[in-house]
Amino acid sequence: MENKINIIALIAGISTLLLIAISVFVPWWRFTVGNPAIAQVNFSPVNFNLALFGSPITIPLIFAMNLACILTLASGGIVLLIYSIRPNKPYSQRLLGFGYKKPLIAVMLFVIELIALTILAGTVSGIAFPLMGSGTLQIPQQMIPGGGVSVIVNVIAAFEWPFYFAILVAGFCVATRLYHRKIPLTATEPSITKATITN
Amino acid sequence: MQTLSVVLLLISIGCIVGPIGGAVIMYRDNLSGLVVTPQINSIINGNNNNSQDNSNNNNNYNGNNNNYNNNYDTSTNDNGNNNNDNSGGGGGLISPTFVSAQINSQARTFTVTVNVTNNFSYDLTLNSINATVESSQDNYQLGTISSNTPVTILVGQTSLVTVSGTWTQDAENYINNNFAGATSINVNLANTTIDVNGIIVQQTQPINVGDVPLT
Repeated sequence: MENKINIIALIAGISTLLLIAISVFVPWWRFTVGNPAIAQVNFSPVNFNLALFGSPITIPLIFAMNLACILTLASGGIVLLIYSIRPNKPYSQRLLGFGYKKPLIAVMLFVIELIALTILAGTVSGIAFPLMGSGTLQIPQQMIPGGGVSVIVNVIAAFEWPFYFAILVAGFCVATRLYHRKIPLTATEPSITKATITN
Repeated sequence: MQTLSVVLLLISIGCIVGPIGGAVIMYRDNLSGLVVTPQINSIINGNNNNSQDNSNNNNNYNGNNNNYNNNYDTSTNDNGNNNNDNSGGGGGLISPTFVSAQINSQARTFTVTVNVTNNFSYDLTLNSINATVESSQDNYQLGTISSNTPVTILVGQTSLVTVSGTWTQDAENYINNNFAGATSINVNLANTTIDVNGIIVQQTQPINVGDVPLT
C-alpha cells in the first residue's frame, strides 16, 4: 500500500514546534518605555513578560494562558506531524482539521488581543499607545502627582521576527489544508470495512 | 473515527482547561492574586520609590564627573560656591541641587555644576538638561544652559552634572544696570527640560537654584 509523506504538513508540524521554542525566548511584539528602557513589555501567545524598573512581573493568570497556548500549539504541531506520515488515511482529515488551525488561531488571536489591549490601555489611560514604531507619549496631567510638570515618554513598539515566522507557519498550515484535497485517499482498511458490514 | 474525534476534542479542552483550571485552583483562596500579584500591589502602593534623605547624599558622588573643573578653559574664573542647602525640585524624579559655577566673562559662557540625586531604586541615565536662566527678581532672561552628555546615576546615589551655558550682551547690560556692586544674583531655571532614560520631564514652574556669584 502506498504511504506517501505530506512534506508540507511535515514542514508545518516541525515549524509549529520550532515556533513554540522560539516564542518562549523571543517575543512577537516588544514595547519599550524609555531609553535606556525603564519598562518593557514582551508579548507572544506563549510568553508575556512585563519588566518594570528591571524587575520582571509575572501574572499567574497570563502565565496559565501562555501555558495553555503552548500545549495547544504543541498538540497541533504533533498531530500535524502524525498527519504528515499518514495523509491518505480515512482519519487523516480529522487530524489535519485539528492540527492546521492551531497556529492560524494563535496568530489571529494574538493580533486581535494586541489591538484590543492597546485600544483598552489607551482608553483607560488617555494615552495613545503605538502598535508599531517609535514615538512620544504625553502623560495626562491628572496622572502626574503634584502638578507643575509635564512628562513626555519615549516609547518604541515593534513586531519581532517570530511574529513574521508565525505568519509563515500559519501559511504552511493553510497550504497543508489546501494540498490535502489533492491527496487521494487509500482504500478503507479491512477492519473498518468488516465492522461496517457487520453493522 | 468517532473515538479519534472525541480524543482530539478532549485534548483541545484539556490543553486550555488544565493550566487555567490549575491556576484557579492554586489561587482559589485569593482569586485576585491571579491578576494582582504582590509585585503589582507594591508598585500601586508606590514602594518602588526608595526616596532617601538628600542631606546624606551630598558627598556621595559616584565619580562620573570628578574632573569637571578640568574640562574647561583655564582662563575661566572658578567661582566655586558649595551651596548644597538649595534644593531645587526635591522629591521629584531626580533632585538637582546647585553646587558651583564658573564664568568666562570674555566668551560670555559659564558652566554650572549641579548635584543630581537618584531617588529611585533603579539606575537612571540623565541624557540631557536644558533650561533658561532667569533672574528670580523679575524673571529677566539671562541666558540658557544645556547638557547633552549622558550621565548614569546609580541607585540612591548623587552625581555631579555639569551644564554649560551662554549669556547675551542684553543680559550683561541688565546686570550692570540692576545689580551694580552686587556680588551675586539669585537665579531661577525656567522651562527646565530633563531627559532621564528617555522620559522627558518639563518643569513648568521655575526652579530656584540660589545665588550665583557675579565676580
